[in-house]
Amino acid sequence: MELNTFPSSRSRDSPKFELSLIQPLLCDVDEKSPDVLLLYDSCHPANGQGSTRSGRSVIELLAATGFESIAPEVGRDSFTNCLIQELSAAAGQRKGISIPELHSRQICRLQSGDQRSVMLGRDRDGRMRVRTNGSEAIFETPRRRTPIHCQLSLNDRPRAIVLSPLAATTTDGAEFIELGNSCGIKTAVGSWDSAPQLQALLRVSIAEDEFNETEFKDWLCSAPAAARGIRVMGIWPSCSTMLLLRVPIEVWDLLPPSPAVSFVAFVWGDASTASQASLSAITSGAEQQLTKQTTDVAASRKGKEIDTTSLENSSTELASTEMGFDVELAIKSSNADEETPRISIEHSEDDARLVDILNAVDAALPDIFRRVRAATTTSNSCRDLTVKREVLTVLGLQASGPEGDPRKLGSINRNVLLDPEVCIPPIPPTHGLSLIFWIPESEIHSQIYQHTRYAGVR
Amino acid sequence: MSGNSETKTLTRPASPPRQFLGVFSNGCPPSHDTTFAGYHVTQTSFTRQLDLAVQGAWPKRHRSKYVDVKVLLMSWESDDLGVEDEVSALESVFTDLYRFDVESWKIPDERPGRHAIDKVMRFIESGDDPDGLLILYYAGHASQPYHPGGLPTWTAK
Repeated sequence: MELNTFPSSRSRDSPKFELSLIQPLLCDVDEKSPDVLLLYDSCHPANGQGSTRSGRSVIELLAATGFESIAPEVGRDSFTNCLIQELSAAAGQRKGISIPELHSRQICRLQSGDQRSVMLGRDRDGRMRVRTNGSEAIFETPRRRTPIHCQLSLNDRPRAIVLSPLAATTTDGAEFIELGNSCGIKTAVGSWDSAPQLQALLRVSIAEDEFNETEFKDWLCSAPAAARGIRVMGIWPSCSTMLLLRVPIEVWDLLPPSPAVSFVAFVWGDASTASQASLSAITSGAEQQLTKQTTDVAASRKGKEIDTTSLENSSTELASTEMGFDVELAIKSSNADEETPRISIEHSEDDARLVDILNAVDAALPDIFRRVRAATTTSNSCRDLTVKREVLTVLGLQASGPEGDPRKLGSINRNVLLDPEVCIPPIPPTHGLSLIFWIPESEIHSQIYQHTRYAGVR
Repeated sequence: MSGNSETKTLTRPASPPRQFLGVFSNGCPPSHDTTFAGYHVTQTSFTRQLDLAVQGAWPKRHRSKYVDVKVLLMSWESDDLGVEDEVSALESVFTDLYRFDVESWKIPDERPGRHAIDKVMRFIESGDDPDGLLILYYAGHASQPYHPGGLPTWTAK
């Protein structure tokens, strides 16, 4: 067949070995195997060959390019340089980056900007020279190729490998404060997040004659944060139904292979910019509100002036939250003489408790939205009181449920202040809501959290 | 979802599709390849797949689960691409920022295949932990596989 090619003459005399000697060793997994990540800064066939056994461990491959094109060589556009940049940026955020996320960022990074660079070369004396064609410099157009991602393992549930810094073995502890203080990194990441994202346009052949859009929107509403980027771009009846769907690259990466789903093109998404703008507005609005609230609380607690440092979690945090919708955390520290917000999450008992509470709230959210939506349809108007009642009912129900911790959730219950008006511009409760709560048990530093969540549909 | 239930929800065309045309001899992919037009997925099944993908694609709120991460960076002893600088920068990212256990290894020109097998075997042994992660990185040339759908050959030049 025509694809049956041989190594180019370039490599005829070169040392070489077949990848099939080593890759299967790594892909031979059983129940007790570690996860495996393969990063190839070279060409690779896009049809990943991996494990034939279904197992627990995940094998992911990220390669510079498929065989349809030539990998960019060493330089600004290289796969490795991109890895270095994105991994370094992610490490500063105190949280992990998944391989599909990395893939998505690589694609976005390579597709944005289009600076040509002048060709440089060494002359016979070994000095660097600008290459010219007589009088004009020769520019090279950037050689950018789309990196490919393959899930090589067969897993019942797709799971992504997450890279995050391992805990330091030394106990100096200074590093986390350093990271929390890293405004530069946050800004850089923020600006990245506000840039429009490339997404994958997919063709999906649905067996049914009609695509149930309501059902799909309901799913979007209750699905995790990442789903907010998913858009139905078109529905066409044929003998069955043809669907054009725009999904984040991360989601595309983890869809199981299926002949009913195929890639059409990379297209620019729009959601990111819009939500980013509204989020920053919310943050500034929330700040005024919270300053008031915080002062009240702290005055009653410690009679102490509050230093309002707020930390905006970028939308990466939004995307990485486990449960639905977007999250915005405004964190107030009552520790007046401290400049940096102390949120080295899961590095103190307090923070672990915060994480517990956020998780509890997250777990309750789909229920809350469902009830709020139901209340809105029946009464055709939804007052703040209704919302609050629903929220408290759900949190109360969860607390009394079989797995609820009545003590913990009870304290949330008492301390949740709900204020949809905090969202600026105010959003209908069916689309999102803000919870404000504090953790009274915390002796170290009393904090107030504002927790804004959006339903995925606009 | 298990692979079996997925197969069931996927309807297939009555007759098997013609063999995928692949690429024409002039190197162009065909514009009339309707091979996959007969395959369908039910909405429920597809929504489920999307749901799992969305949940899998983003990490949980916190950090990753790994207690031990081993990295093997491979490049050729007689590399002609000049990857050295990038590889050592990547090594520094993994070592200094992520605190992973990193080894940078040069593939020798003599009997590279044998040495690579040996190296990778020892690498796998060193990180044989269910809570671990093995990262294999390679920078260098690759040439097209001998067989369609096969794995490539790694070459130094």
